[in-house]
Amino acid sequence: MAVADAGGTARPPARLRRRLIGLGIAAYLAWQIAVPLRYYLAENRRDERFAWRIFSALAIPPYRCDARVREFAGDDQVGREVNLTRTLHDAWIPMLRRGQGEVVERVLRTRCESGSMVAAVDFWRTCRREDRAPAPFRHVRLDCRSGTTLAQEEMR
Amino acid sequence: MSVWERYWFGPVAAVRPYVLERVVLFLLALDAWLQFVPHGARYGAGGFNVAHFAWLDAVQPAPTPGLHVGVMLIVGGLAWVIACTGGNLALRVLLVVLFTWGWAMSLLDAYQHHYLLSLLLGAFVFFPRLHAADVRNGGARRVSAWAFVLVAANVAIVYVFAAATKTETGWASGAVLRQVTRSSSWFQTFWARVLVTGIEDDTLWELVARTVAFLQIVIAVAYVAVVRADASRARWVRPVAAGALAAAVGFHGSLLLFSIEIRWFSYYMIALAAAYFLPETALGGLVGLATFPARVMASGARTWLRSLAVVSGASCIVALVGFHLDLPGGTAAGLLCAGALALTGLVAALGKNAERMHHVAVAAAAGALVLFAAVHVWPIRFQYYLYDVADLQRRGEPADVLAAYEKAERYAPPDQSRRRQIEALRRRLETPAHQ
Repeated sequence: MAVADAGGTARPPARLRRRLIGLGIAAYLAWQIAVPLRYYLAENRRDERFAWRIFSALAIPPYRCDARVREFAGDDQVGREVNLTRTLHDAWIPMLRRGQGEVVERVLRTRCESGSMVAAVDFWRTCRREDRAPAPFRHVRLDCRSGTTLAQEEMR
Repeated sequence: MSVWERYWFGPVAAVRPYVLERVVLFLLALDAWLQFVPHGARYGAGGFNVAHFAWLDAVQPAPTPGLHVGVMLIVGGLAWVIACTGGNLALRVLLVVLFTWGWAMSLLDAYQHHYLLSLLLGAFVFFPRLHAADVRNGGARRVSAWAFVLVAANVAIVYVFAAATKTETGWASGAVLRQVTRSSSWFQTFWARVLVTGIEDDTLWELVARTVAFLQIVIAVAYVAVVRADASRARWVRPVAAGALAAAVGFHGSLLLFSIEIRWFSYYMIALAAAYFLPETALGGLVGLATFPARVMASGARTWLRSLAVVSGASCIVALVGFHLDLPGGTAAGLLCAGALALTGLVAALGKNAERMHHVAVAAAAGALVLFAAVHVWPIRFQYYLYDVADLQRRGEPADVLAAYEKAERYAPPDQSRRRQIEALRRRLETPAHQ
């Protein structure tokens, strides 16, 4: 904190304190640069919360995506479609459409915990471009018993 | 001092950190009440939530509408009181913690500027404690304010990354801008007139997209360079500051003209640019004008008895407004704030802080009355219950939808009545199939 002198100009802190604050500033700035950089250097660029994109390429993509969840009981191969709009608040659906990892994982785990009969839950994110060029596709399967997750991601 | 130390600890005009802090806090108070509260109904809906951080999910209670709305009402109140009085260290720390928890409790709030606001509030903890009297009369005083300089560096980092992303094809080709402006009829008309000049559509979009990225770099450089302008006599400083202010107001102001879901991000960024780039004398004049009512009210003698009466009255007003809000978490937030105010006020009035507590109590009462006025002027409660209706229509029972509709109707603006929907729903519920 600055200390005011008689001339109306606040003095800077003492030398030792300046050094400590200087170190803190350097660490803080390094953190502020490293966090967004981690996003830009990563292969998966779905989590743009701390990346300072301002205009999101995810929120305004050149394609439209659908999200589907299906749960399977025991040896059932067909499964049952989960009505997402009846299960989740509307605000979570766009996050599933964007394929936001944490939300997808929590939805799958919540479905696993919804009944003892549920053996596996699948998530599909299918995107389509108007010009029919390749668009993202993602399939995630959570095995409720083992807790293992299998994910497949490609441009289709 | 070394160059590094001179940069961070050298003098800046006291009026700049003062204006930055107070304007951002006033904006935050209104933002919390007008923008955060109406969206509170979705928190914890269906028993589902994902926090921003896994560790937070492990330690926090499951978010509910009452919890979120209550936290944001308190955040607004705290921001208001600190903006009016300067607050103290404890209040500032409490504000950072509560506001950060407010957005971090759920991924439902993923606005990047809320994270930026948390960083700003964190910096405010280390800002010099300044009062209007310190900075009026042209802001002649200078202070060493490393946290103020750090905010400038932080904002520059934000702009640099924002500009870097605009080198990607999606932006650089103008595709994102086309999409953003597509639904704006006035812009389409304007664009058509520009194209009449013979410039190619694609070329112009690309040019605009690249100009935006360039402007962001200019703003970033200006934040880092101009922050020490008050101590510098270099001639380039003033034009750079003016250019950066124009660029920031132009860029963020233009975003307000389109239907982009970024809430009050533009207002915050314009406020930041004004605090760093406006001439010192202009800021001093603004402070003089804005603090005039407070200076008039501040005159008059204070006795401990008078302070005690003011604190008691303010506590009652805060509690009553909380109760009157008719929002989940409203009563609890009002009682909590009123209780804290009464308790600290009693201790302070009997001690040596009667004068200061008097100011805090008046600010708290004024904040509560502003909130009271805000919920009557803006359809905050109408929006809150209407969002609830929208969710219940898909996931809830018709009786719940009717109850939420009836709540919304109480606060409906004259031209937005839902009476017809309510009657239709009542008739549906009265048919034998629902008995």
